[in-house]
Amino acid sequence: MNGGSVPPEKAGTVFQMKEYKGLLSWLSPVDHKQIGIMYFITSLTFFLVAVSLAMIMRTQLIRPNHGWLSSATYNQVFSMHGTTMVFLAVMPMLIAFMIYFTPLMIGARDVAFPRMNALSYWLYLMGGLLLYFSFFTGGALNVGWSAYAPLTETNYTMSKYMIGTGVDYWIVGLLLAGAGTIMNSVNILVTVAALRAPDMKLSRVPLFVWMSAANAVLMLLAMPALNTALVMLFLDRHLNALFFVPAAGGKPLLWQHYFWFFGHPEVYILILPGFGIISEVIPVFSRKPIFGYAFLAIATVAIGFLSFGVWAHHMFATGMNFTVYYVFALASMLIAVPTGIKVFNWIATMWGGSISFDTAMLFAVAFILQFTIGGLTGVAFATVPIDWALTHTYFVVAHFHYTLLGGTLFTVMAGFYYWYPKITGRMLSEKLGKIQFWLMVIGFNGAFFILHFAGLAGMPRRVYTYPDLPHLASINLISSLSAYILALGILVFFANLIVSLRKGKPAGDNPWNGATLEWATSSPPPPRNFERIPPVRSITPLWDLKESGRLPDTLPSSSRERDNE
Amino acid sequence: MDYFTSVLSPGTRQAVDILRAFYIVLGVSAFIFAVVAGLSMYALCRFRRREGREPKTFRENVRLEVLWTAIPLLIVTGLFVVAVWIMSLVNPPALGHQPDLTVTAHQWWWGLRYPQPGVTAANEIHLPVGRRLLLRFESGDVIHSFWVPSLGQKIDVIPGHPNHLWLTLERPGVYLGACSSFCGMGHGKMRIRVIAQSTDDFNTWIGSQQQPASPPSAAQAAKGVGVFMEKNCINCHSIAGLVTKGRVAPDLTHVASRETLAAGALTNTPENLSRWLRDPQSVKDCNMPDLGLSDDQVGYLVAYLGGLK
Ligand code: HEC
Ligand code: HEM
Ligand SMILES: [Cu+2]
Ligand SMILES: [Cu+2]
Repeated sequence: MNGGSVPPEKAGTVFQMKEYKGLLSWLSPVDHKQIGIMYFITSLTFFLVAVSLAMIMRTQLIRPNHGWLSSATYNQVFSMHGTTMVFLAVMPMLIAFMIYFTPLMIGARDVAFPRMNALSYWLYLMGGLLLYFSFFTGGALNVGWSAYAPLTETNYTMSKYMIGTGVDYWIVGLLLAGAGTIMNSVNILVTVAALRAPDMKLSRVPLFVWMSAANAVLMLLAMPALNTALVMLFLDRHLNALFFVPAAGGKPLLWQHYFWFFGHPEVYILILPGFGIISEVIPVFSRKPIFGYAFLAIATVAIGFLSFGVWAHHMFATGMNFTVYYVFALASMLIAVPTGIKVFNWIATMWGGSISFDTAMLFAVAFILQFTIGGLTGVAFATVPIDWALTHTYFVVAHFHYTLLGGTLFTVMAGFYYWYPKITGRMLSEKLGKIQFWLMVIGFNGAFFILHFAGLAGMPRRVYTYPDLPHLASINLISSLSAYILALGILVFFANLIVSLRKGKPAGDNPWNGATLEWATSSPPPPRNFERIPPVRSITPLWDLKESGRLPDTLPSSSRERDNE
Repeated sequence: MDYFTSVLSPGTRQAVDILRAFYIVLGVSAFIFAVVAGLSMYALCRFRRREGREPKTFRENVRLEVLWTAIPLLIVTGLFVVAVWIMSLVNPPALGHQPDLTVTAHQWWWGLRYPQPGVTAANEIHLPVGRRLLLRFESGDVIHSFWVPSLGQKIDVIPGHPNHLWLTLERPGVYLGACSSFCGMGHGKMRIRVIAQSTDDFNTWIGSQQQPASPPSAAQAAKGVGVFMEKNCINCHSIAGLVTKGRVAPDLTHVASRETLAAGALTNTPENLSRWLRDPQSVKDCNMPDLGLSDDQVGYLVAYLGGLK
């Protein structure tokens, strides 16, 4: 089962391939796989930084009235943690999966616009570096990742601690990265629309690709709202445009509308590719085709649509009109339905299967349960009066870490264990994987489940310290200690990534008996991805081939050779 | 005095209603989670890979799909009804009613104005139990959020966008809360203290607050008045009966009657007051500058301000 030219036991890792040798090849790549790898490495680096910031926060919060960090420092730390996780770590990590695997899974040789793909990456990297450069200019962003006006206006960001350029670097950094993201979405959409293997009808497109495409639509429509708001804020700060200044007739709430018009789709942007990964992993490790393919695809589209009609649920405490609340509460509750459909379809996929507990599958299952918790607290927040009581508190922090960390990050982990062999040519260590998995499950739930109670007990979010009110000391102690366990798990993951590159078992083309096209080529795939594109008769082309007893390297050459350079 | 700090110990009718919604949703959520977790765990155990057992191959079942679309739809419709019902109980529109209290949030303290009796105070909110009260919220600068967990709803305090809350306190006690919308450096130390009292106690308190500041009783305190006038305090602070042009800092007319200083950052003792006057920035990030007072001056001010019951 080796579509490439080298037998697996001799195969080097991706970094030893002659086409990818040399600095120049990594400075000017246009191959989607190389760019994908650069996205992986960069986003993992930013992820490590953001995790370190999180550990600093949890250390500061380990006990009441802790005097370690000043408010000035803590505010930068939590703001940069949120911004980095969302824009520089998790979203680009998902984009990395999209860029790397979309062409492979649809039998294309590259993305539609390889050079634009490279531009996206460089914009992302430069945006990220610019954002971090702000630390050296007198202080980074210190107003939270949602940067509510009018606190972001110059008269409030100037203080004796800092000159307040952090907000400006944030604006410009996110604009750059955001422009890159918009190009990513165009690229993915055109690739999926135009470069699918000849017989891959829309009804045979792998679910990961479906969800990536839906994600691309969301990014395309949501990012401009953020970019607009950023430009308006920049004008406010430097040309006195007064968009958000109430004393001059501006509206602080306008910022919130813009921000969340982007921000709510954004949280789906942060989960849809994850849903896609899960929809690939569960069938493979259950040896059973995905249950309810059509419903999953439709549910994805429904989520995409609805996600643009729920943004004001982030503003239930702003004192708007009740009619507005009704509309947004209803829409927010409705969006839970397609999400629920997915969960039940995944379970139904496992049902009757032959389930193996490889690390990828463990992460997928933990994801289902943890994400369900995050989803349910989400429904609680859509119940307006509960939002009135609990928004802006640690209950929210717990809620969105259940969706983003217990949710997305766990899907990403499943994705790494599933696809690392394809990307690098080596298997990740399952032994380290299991250790990592248990450290992360215990650490994550220990750190964040209990934070629901911190919110109930009266702890607002974004505070650098808190008084010794009943229960807060013990809750925070447990949360911080568990967070260290979680961080240990993450370190084990990084160790695994590095060690397995040298010591990992050679992967072979299709170590997991995957069903989709990426497993029909060698690991790592050759620069042009496929020598022959196998026929696609269903959503599980490789399983079909196996049944009919034909192996990929004896395939007839595909009817239409494609070249997209 | 009983202290209330948690969402789970409601002190107003509105908080009781919200907690009811919370428990309903909690029950429903626990049920759904049990179903999801139960089914997954069962599947994992029952269908784990074993020699010689072939996986099934079914791919679809429209009846099942309809079932698990319809049931969640019914559930969320139910929850939506709960939301609408509790909303109308908790915080109906103010419809032109006059507020019993106007709270003005500032970076990083709370200004209070009781329009009816005409009382100005700061940071510590006295309210009578048993009556349905209307509170109005305005902001003097950025967005804050008024959150006292046991009172039920929180409300954002937004410049140019006044908001309101209805509260019916049920039990006397001290209700602790905090600003919950990030508002800058001092956000973490912008606490709220609500003192719920019987109508009699409340009226006594109002009566005492209506008085102008007591004149200095001793020589030390009289010197304190001088320092207060000289050292720019009056540009920011007001003391009824002395000078009332300061608008950007807490009213100090009855500062000694408060339990805490600087929005809950310190308990109100003479030592803490002098610590505050010596170096306010070491207590919390705030808009009160270090005024370079000598030890003597601090002593005089403490004597004066400490007498402003
Ligand atoms: C530039 C304006 C400014 C000046 C001048 C100033 N203060 Fe203040 N003061 C403030 C602000 C603002 C606060 C509220 C701090 C907070 O809690 O964030 C405050 C708080 C206080 C408090 C605590 C009040 C309370 O309700 O807890 C006292 C007491 C006080 N100031 C005394 C003084 C004295 C005495 C002087 C003169 C020596 C003075 N202040 C000068 C701005 C000022
Ligand atoms: C590695 C483990 C993590 C830990 C221990 C952690 C911890 C925290 C804590 C304690 C806060 C609250 C800070 C405050 O309100 O004062 C926070 C905020 C936040 N976290 Fe995490 N986090 C982790 C991972 C993640 C991940 C994976 C994401 C997601 C994509 C994420 C996104 C955010 C965001 C968006 C905020 C809000 C920042 C703000 O208030 O502006 N975090 N995190
Ligand atoms: Cu949202
Ligand atoms: Cu605040």
